[in-house]
Amino acid sequence: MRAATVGATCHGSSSDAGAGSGAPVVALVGAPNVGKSTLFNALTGARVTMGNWPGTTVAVSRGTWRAGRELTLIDFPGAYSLDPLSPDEALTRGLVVDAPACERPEVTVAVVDASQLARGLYLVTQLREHDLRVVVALTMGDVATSRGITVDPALLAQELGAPVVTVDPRRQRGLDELARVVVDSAARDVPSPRLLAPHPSAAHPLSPHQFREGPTASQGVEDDALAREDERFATIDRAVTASITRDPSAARTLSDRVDRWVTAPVAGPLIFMGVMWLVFQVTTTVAAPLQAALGSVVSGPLTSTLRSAFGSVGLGGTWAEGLVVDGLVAGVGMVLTFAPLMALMFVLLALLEDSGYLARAAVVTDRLMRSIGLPGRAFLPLVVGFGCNVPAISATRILPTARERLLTSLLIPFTSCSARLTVYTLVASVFFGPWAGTVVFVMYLVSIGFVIGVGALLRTTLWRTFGADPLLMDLPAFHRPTLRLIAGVTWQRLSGFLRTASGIIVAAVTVVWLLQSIPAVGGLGFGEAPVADSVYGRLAQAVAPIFGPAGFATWQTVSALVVGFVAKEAVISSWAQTYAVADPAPGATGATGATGALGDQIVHAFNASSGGHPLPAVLAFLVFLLAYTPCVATLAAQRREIGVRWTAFGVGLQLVVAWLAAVVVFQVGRWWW
Amino acid sequence: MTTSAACSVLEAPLNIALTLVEAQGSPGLLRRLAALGIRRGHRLEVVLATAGGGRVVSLGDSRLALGRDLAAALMVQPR
Repeated sequence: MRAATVGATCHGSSSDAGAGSGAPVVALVGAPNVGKSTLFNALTGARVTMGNWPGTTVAVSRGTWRAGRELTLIDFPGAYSLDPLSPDEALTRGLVVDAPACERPEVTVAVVDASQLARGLYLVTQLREHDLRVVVALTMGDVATSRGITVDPALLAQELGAPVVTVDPRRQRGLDELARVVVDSAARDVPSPRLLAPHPSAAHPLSPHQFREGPTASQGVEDDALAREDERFATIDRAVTASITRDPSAARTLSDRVDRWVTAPVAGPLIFMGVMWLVFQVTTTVAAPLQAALGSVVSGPLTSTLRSAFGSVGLGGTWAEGLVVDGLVAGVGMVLTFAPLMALMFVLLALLEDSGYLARAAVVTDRLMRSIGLPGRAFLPLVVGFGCNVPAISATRILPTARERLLTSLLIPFTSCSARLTVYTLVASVFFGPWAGTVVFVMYLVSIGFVIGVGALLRTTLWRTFGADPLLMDLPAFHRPTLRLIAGVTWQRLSGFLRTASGIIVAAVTVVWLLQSIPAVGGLGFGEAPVADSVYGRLAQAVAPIFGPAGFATWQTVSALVVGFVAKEAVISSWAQTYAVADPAPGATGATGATGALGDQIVHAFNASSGGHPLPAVLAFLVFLLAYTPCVATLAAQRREIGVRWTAFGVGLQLVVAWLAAVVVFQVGRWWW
Repeated sequence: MTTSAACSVLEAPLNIALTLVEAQGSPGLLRRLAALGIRRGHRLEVVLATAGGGRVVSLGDSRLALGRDLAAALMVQPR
């Protein structure tokens, strides 16, 4: 079932990326939160590609490790053991252990947390039961020291039968020695496995059956498995006792004291809300001026410089200028304006994860999220989504499994972002006067309702076993985050986003511009037709009747929605364009008079299309706008995180949900208003 | 609780040295517990009661957060 192997196959050439097809492959394995990825980044620098292992949903990083000779280093997702209890662990087992000998990695580096030695050694003892070259890298020495724990690597190596190297990837210590030991190890024969027992079976329960008497066939298998477990733990105990010295006077650590507050029944949730508020503020209030500044540079000086450049070579006003300035540059400009927002989001995520707070937040939110059927850690991406969906999609990386990331990514577009708010405010103030604020608030409640409702729908149809796992989570020690590390990871993620998002966004902006410029009536040149007579306008007119049952089947309204697909912020100005009126003044609210000509046109349009029931039609329109599709930047982010097929599914799902909801709102609403 | 009676982690008092007596659950869950250091005969202490009704247990040098249902399914006894 595996689509690819770690390195050279027994029959031919190797897979892509890494140091090239001849280079030996080194696997990096270990539990989550032991500093494995930090070590990986320290060893490979910028020479990294990240992505899903072919044919799987498991994220794996590959890089080049210059360790004297060039090695391909593969960072496997965190695994506590070789038992395939999740797709992540199954992949590790499949590629490191179950592969035929010539397809296994040359050396397997097991990263072990020195401050939690016994736990980390579980995986190591399992690895040592197979024909593998194992090297142990001990991390978190500083945490161990602060708890009064000292580990002797030489004694530990003796007990395990594998070399042990102490490393500190944050401070770049011990890396050269690790390189030397790994290269050395690769040159030797594979050491004999620790146990000569038959290959461990995949099923060895540790159940109360062990208390019962009576021979049965399955009892024999269980006894074997239990005996192996006992032997494993005996080895671990011996190794720990031999190599660890403890300072009994070590004080209760800061970590413990903070935990007392951060997971407490009352203080915990309050602290959590405070942190979420901070995250929300940073991604809206702090990011907004940076985005606006970048946006105005692109739409101001850059655009006018380009236009005059085109003018000076006699191409002013031609399709070439339009393509470059209104298509490509506008598209690239939009991508760039997301850069500060995404950077801030990645920094925040890294801070929360690296410091260890995120695990505590997951504990605090677990019960509430479980009761509404969502994964515990989904809280953060959903909160961010109310500011902007784009960084929220990227924030789903903090969810531990692919299924949780997928479900959350599909639900994030139902969170009502701040761009949608601009449309709500305008429309609500035109139609509802003093009730506008209430209507907007109700839209947010509807948004939450969609998230919970669609979540339930997806779980009952697609993922029926979802959420069955109990909360069982490791709480890593609190760390002071390393800024250099965070900067490195942020740059990596940001450049990845910009690379993949720019294609889709630029394409979408260019296509809309093109459709609006191509006339649909004869006798008019390119770019000369008013919107109504362009191909774009004709398409909007053709599509508009679909919204008849929802009460807003005017082509101008529909056209605004199509533009909203590209960017929700553009809805209002594009709406104004279709009526050939001026944009309403920014921030204009209140009665019809204050919003001016556009407001009048909208009132007229809704009155006509709804057959005299404008208010339900307006509500239907707002509900549709809330749910129908994310903006193209969100789609780009989704494509990056969950792939093309699921993104397309999400679009389809949203269109259907939005249309049904809008129709229901209108048809039911018009009995009252 | 008396010196020989077992109770669940949920009912156990805080900061007392305990031994795990039995774990109830699916084979997959039990394997995961073992990998994290929760196994029959292993020593642990219940350290905190968390928001949502769960517990934080300390196992040697590690700490784990357990949900309420899971805490009710682990039986312990004082050492």
